[in-house]
Amino acid sequence: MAADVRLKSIYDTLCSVISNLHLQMGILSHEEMYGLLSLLDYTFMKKKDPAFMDLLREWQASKTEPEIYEIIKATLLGIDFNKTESVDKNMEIIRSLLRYNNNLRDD
Amino acid sequence: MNMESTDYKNQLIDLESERRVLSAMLHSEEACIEAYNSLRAIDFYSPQHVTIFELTSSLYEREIRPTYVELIKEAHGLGILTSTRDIEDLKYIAQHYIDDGNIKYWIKKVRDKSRLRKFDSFLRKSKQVLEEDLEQDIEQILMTAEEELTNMTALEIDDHVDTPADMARLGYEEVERRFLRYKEIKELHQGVIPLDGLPTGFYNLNKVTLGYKPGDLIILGAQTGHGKTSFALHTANAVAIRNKTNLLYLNTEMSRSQIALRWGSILSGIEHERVRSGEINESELSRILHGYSQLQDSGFYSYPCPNLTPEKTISIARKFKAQKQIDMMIIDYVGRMDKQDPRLQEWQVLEQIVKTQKMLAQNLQIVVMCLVQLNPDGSLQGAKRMKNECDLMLKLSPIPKEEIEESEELKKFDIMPNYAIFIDKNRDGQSGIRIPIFFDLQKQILKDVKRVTI
Repeated sequence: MAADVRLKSIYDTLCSVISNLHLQMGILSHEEMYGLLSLLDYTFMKKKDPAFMDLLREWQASKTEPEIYEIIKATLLGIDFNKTESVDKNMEIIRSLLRYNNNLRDD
Repeated sequence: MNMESTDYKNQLIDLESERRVLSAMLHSEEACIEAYNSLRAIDFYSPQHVTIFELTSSLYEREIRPTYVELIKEAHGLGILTSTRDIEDLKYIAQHYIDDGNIKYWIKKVRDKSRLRKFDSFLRKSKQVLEEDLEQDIEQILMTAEEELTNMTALEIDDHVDTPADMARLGYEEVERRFLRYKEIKELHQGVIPLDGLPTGFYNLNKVTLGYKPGDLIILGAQTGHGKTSFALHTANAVAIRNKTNLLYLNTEMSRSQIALRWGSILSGIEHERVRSGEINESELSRILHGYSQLQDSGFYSYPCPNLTPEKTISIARKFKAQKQIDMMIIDYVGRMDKQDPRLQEWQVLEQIVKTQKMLAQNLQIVVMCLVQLNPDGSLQGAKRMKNECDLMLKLSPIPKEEIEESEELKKFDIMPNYAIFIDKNRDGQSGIRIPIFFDLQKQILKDVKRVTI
């Protein structure tokens, strides 16, 4: 029960932080807020897809070229988290972009 | 005085319980179903809570799981709850966590306060009436007040008291409807009776029952391996595929692929064993594809559920009624339901299940069909109690081999019947009738048989 409440509390706090980053501080655009909220629901409530989380971690850990970073961000915002095909297809795109980024850095 | 007035107000309002119910709705689907079915927006005192309840219910009705995130997205789309203060309030509400099992307790608290506020409003209104017009007929005032008070003491939302006038009007409307239908049968349908409810899939059963009606509990008993699932899918075929009415099928034994394969055989008319083993030719494959296209356009919703409990059937049925507007639910079969209380005996469990399903049928105004297992001697455990609760009790059994060979009566049909449906109880019509049918065991199809000679 305690762990369950802790998870719920993290989820609720994150949800309100994301909303306020758009509403109060104007740091996030409307689309960015929607994208992050959907991502939050996808990972927390629907408890799906650890592979997706691993990919996000990989992206955050990598030193991504600015253009590639923006493309990955735009790809993430375009995902329809209610459709498995959309998640799978865009995950593959992000993987390719990260591979391409690593190749660029190796060169 | 101020202190007294604050205490009185606190008696009528319980914002904490309202927050706890809303928080539970955002965190648990089960809690959401319970609250959606037990409360109305007007049961909440705070206008903000009313809005959140309405938004959450609207998401749920559209099959979107009403999480905190979805609530914010929905509210933003409508241009409401957009201020920082609103977001803080929402977070505060969301963090009123409860154990999901306690949802009924919090719902009751919200509902009780709502009823108290109605009572308070009644008292104020009555006082105002007395203050405004002193010349009124006291009898009239008291009678009006009594009526309002009686309505208020009805415990459930759907409780309804019929006045003599209501009952007389209802009775006349029913007779008039039947009279017009009888005329229509004679003039338009040339003697074929139109149904009052959902088709049963059998001509003679339609004739005797006039179809399965909303609020009906139907019990179908058969021994192991004697066609319970075939009967259930035959009913689903008539209701959901041919009549295109939404139906929920709960199966406690079979897997998703087993149910899907059964449909392949039923809708194509190809032997089940050949469909299962893949021993079919290309033209048969295309017949099967055509069959599945019928299933795709139908109202058949399947929910394989090996750990079904009576409580779970309630929440599943409510969910499908709200989101898919089902008119019928079939439980295949009740003997496989998990016992909530291991101390109960088998007959007590069956009685509890059947009672729950009857209430469910009436509350949701859907048809509920429960399949039960008959004992090897054809009797039914707890039969008397089951019979009391249900509206229609049917028994499906093979016709004995000797009877098939010797009976002259059975030879008068176009196809030799090998099974029979026995109408053990029929609340709305004749019972004690045996309807012969043909059960094609290889194709798992049940068929009507027609009498061709007198």
